[in-house]
Amino acid sequence: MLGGVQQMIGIYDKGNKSIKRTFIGNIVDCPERDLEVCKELSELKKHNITIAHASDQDWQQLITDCSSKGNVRVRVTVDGTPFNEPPTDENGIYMFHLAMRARELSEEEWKAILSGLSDQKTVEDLVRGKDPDGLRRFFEHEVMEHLSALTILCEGYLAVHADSKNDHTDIKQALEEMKWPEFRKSDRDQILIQEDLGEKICEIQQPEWWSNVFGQESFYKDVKKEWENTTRTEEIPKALDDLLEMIRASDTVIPPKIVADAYCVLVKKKL
Amino acid sequence: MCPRKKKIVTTPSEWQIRRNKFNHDWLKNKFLNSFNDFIEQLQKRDPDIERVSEFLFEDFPTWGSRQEDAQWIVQSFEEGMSPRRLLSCSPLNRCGNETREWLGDLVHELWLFRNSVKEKEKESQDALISVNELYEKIASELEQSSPIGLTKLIALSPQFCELKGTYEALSKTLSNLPRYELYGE
Repeated sequence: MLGGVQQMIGIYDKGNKSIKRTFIGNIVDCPERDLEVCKELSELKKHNITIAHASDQDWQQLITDCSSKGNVRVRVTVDGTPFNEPPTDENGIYMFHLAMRARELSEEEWKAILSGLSDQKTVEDLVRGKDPDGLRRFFEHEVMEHLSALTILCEGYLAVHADSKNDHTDIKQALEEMKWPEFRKSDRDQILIQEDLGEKICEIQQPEWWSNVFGQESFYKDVKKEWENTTRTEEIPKALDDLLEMIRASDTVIPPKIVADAYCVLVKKKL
Repeated sequence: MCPRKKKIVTTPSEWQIRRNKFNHDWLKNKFLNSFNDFIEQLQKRDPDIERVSEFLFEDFPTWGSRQEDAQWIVQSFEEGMSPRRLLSCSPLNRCGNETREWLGDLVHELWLFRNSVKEKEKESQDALISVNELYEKIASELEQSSPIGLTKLIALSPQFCELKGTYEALSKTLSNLPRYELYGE
């Protein structure tokens, strides 16, 4: 608990009075004594911890007029693009910006956040750049650079295969996910795509197609971590794992079916 | 307790930040709210002159500086959000130059096709043109009628309503432009 005392957390959602109508109401089943919905910004002064869905102006007013040293202030968005401002300490006020939309969090995740923010050490660790109890991901944005790169390499591989003289049965579903057949019939493919795409089959079949990009030892771990963080599950699907293992083996030609199945998993993942 | 997870940290693209600041923070939550209030006042028997004046002389003119943001957002969308830009970043920048070129072209064109990007860009551009045309028309009338009285403002209510509608349409088209930077979704 912050300061050793159980904290009543102030909730502000642009003047909404009822907790059920706030960004947190449908998610968190907390006893009323833990959360207090404040209609006016000035009411937030008495709360050491505040979570606010507020305009720029209101947020500024909250920090300037309704906060003092040691307070924790969290800003959330409901429909807009999530914030990407790391936790900071400004004049002793701890400021956090939720890096995902408030309604995308589960009840368990909200409870973990509320619990963490009620602990002094956790707050200070977050502000110092640490990752206590895995909470940092809620306050800092990440880009799935490895998953994105893998998806792009798969698309290039599959597109070349589709245009080559090779059999396409094994990759048919993946091509449909890519909308490749429709694309090839549209006007757009005439503009930039090279006519000799299929002749690049030798290039994409080489292990270097993958190892040039994912040559580091840590790539398997990095992809796995991105997957876990993106989907909030612990397990990487077998289809994706099979591709990663073959890339790691680095000396074999990867069959089209392996790439196709992994691609289907990549484009269907839940964010 | 959440399981411990290591983080890869980076920042959203500049385009997304600017789009969000313009569309969500300013247009939807500030300007259109004030505009709604202004129109409601004009429809009352006894409008609040102070609120009417506040919108007319403080909020309404801000479009002059804001339209540049809108223009940038519409014009920069394709370059800002295309997966082609990932070929210049780690780890894809480890590919050979020739590969980066043809692969970049390929994924870019696929992305344009799958997301109807050109059509959405045109919708945004058309919506912005509609806003600007009507705004200029009303601004010109206000200037010609200066100093403007309440009667004249009330007479312009239908045009103000129409203008508000164009702003709402613009906001909608900007929201329709894909907002994620993770390619593959």
